[in-house]
Amino acid sequence: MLFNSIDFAIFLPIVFLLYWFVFPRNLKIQNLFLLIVSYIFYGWWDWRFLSLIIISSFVDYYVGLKIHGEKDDSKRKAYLWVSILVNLGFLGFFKYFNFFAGNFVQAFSFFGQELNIQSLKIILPVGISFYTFQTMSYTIDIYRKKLEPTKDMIAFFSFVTFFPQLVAGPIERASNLLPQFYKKRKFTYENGVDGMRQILWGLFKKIVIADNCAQYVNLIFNNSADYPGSVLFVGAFLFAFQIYGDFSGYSDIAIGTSRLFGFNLMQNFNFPYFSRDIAEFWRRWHISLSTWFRDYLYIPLGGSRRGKIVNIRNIFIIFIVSGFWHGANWTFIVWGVLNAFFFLPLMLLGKNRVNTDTVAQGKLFPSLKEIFYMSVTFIITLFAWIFFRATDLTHAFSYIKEMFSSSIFVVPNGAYFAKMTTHPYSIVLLIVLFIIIEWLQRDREFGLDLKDIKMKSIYKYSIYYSIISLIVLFAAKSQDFIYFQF
Amino acid sequence: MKKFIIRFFIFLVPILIMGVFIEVVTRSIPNEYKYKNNYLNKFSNQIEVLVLGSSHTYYGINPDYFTLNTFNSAHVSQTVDFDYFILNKFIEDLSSLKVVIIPISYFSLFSRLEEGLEAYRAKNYTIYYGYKDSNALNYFEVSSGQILKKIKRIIKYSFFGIDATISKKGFGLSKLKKEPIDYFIKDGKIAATRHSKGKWENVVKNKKNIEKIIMLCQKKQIKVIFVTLPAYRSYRENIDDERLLYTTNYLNKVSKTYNNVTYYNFLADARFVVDDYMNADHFNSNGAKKLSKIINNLIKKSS
Repeated sequence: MLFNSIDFAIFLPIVFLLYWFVFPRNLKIQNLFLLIVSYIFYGWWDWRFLSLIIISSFVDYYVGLKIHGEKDDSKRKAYLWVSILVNLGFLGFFKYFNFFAGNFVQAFSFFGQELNIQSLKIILPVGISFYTFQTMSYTIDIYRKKLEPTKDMIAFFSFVTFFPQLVAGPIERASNLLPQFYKKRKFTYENGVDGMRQILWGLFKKIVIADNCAQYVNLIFNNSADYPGSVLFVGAFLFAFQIYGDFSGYSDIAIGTSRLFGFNLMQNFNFPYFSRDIAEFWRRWHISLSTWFRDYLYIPLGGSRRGKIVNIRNIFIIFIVSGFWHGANWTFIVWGVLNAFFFLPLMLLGKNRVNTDTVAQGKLFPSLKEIFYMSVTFIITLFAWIFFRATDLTHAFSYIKEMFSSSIFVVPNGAYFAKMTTHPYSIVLLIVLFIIIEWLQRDREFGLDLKDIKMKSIYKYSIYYSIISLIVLFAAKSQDFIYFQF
Repeated sequence: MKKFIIRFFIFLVPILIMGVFIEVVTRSIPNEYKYKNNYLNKFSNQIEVLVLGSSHTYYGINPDYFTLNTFNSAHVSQTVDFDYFILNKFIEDLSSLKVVIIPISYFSLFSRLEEGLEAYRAKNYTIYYGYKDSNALNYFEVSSGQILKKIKRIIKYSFFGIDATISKKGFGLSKLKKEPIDYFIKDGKIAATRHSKGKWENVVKNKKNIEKIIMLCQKKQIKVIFVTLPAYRSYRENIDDERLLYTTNYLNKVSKTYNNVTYYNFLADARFVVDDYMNADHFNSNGAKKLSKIINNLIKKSS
């Protein structure tokens, strides 16, 4: 079920009303209700893959209890491996089997050996990369004795499948989300309004920004050989906003929806395009994944404490794994490697934690120096996004080659975009408006976060209706959320 | 909680009022779906040749050049399931009908309206033709297509009225704007690529609808003419040969199997030149005139 679908628009109010009016008294029953609706939400896409979530939940529930009850370290480790192997096994088979099979065949044929490995017609289960990581963090934290396992099976299963964040995150930690299933949730008017605002802002980002950019991006990337460098640059620029609007929009809707049910999820995006360096960008982009890799991969590998060589190795490992997490394609791996190269100088010079505050805090405008740093960071991110969006490496390299040719000075012809439903000027204006709103709100949680802002109701309502009008007027053809494929 | 729900509903009221207003006003604006449905309701018994199909026949076959009384009931992006729906809906009233012309283009067997770029048009069949659609969104103007375009249409209609987009006989009026050859080259490639995206899985359903059309006409002793309309070189050079061959083989087979079926393939017909085209795969009124006369002669010869 997509957040921007009519199905969800019907599903959400029904679930909301039943949750608060029919099952408010008994916490167990309320959790069970959440579990059932989460399964319905997921099964709406393909009920067969529910079995994977259920198996994953069962394994980690029991492994969690076993690790906790076991004194022998080697046995504890063995149990942890069961959890890791089951989860990564699912992920490996459904997401990476064909990639590895194809690359083995190619590698062997390079040496004159013909391997006969058939590629399988595997459907990638939606959200598998998200819920497997979420549930693995539970067993790893128990192994590290940072978390007590739960005996409440319903609460644990609900934690794994909680529908607002099930298919595209934020990837929650058990230590934050699981305890919220033990306590009776309270609905407050302020929290409800706040949740609705965040949902509205998420819909704006997805429907107005991401979907409108997507129609141009698809046209340009799918026919990149037909366009001059200037148009390809526009394509890459728009993709940067498409992926941001799409993914952070999803996160906003997920967090906002959770608020309606009395849950608090972690912030997943913190205005990343206002970052002054790439390290800051990675602290602000897909925070739940970046911190997951930091806590469960980078630090166990030694982080930055075992000398420069190990540190450099670790940086490359987390960025490559992060790229590979996004998809079974060399383009994602190169995207990861590029980001590692961007990140490395800051790390080696010890400047990776220079920009930890909000840019131009307390000021309306940034300084020229800040504008310069933000622009450079945006441009290098944009460059890496080309690999992320390209169909394969050949496509990415030919795209970049043309983009940096003399044709970058060719003025784009309006006829290229004659069939687009939204006029190019409208897209530019919408993006400018989006950037202005995000800039003004950059020290808050999300673009439409008006909590504790003293403002007359009429102004607040004018803002809400204006956003709704923009959504209604500029709704482009609905596109699937990009991160669903991961 | 109570406060939240009450305020939320109050908040929704202006949005709902606006939605109802746009729905009602948009429906009241004349459009070609409404026009063609009304025409068929009123004059079905006088129609002798009925043209169905997509933009290819909508812009490509002009009833004015036919000897028999002809009506063009094609719509942009109309797929064969909607061709069958329209024919089946009016078949009992089409008492004078002798010939049905249906374009089977390179993409026809592989396409479904609801899957393409013009999926928003599906609602027109539900709202104006009474088609029973399983998608609830297709029962409302406001829930499909861009609202901004609807508002522009309302404003335009309120202040300036509406320009006719079709002739009285349902032919799509196009502008005779001369495009440079470069345009045709680029457009041909883009259109062919777009038209090659249809799915092979759709073939079974589409063939079933084609056969339903044939059987319906056979029962009423109506001839069915399938035509593949001409396209400019740049379009032909960029299409998938396998799909084209599959389509032409199928139509040749069908025309041999059923005695009420004829198939004409004009795709690479040398009688049509660049001046006949509006773009790489659509005629302008010159091309439509030429083709309509050719088909009219073929009908005359066969009768």
